[in-house]
Amino acid sequence: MTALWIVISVALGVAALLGTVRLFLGPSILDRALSVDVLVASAMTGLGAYAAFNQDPTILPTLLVLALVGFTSSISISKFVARRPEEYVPPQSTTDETGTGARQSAPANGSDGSDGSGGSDGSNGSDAPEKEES
Amino acid sequence: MSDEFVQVLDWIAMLCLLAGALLTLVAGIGLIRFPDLLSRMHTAAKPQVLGLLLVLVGLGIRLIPAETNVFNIGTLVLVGLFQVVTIPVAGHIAARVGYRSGRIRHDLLVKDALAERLAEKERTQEAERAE
Repeated sequence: MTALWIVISVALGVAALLGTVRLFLGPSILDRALSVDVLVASAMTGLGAYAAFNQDPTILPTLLVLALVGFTSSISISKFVARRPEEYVPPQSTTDETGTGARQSAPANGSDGSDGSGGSDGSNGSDAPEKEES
Repeated sequence: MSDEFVQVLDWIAMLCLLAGALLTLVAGIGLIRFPDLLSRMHTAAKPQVLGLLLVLVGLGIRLIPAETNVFNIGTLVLVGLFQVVTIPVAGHIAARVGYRSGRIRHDLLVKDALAERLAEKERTQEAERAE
């Protein structure tokens, strides 16, 4: 029984460490938000395991608060990243007609907005995960 | 309750907790090894829903012989309900923003249905603009 408790705690600790590694490595800011979500989930799992080990229900409100608040960070980061949600970055090279159609529409998008250059940047570097300047 | 019954309950709770912890570990390994934002989201959803629900079930089974308070079980049900309701919202918005801003790898997709829909919509808009 004690060995299984040790296995549970070691698994949770290793999962949190791997999530932290992705938090440092992550090429884009959405990967970092995703790893923060995994860290919150592993923290909730660890709190639950702690409460089960001690048979102590005092930290159940903490679990409730984390379940209610944990998703707001990911949503706010995503809303921060999405400057223009109507802007569509075309795929790299599926067929010729979609590429030319999207390329024709790129100056049409840039004419009414100021940051039309962001779309062309994204379409150029969409095969490799781009570096964020965060 | 008899001691044997409490022992059986403890072993069931231990199995649930172990499964939840191993799912969290699998999610951590998948975060490191998977190449794409969408595949990482696929592996990150496992401890957020199934792993946490298993841990909550194990915690509830473990709390049964120690506590007779009904509100603890109610709190556990509420935690699971809020997690199941809120996690798909965050996943949907993150995946949408990741697609629209070009942060996913299109060469890893087997079929990109959204690109076909968007190209078709763009073609109709071009035709309307030309008229």
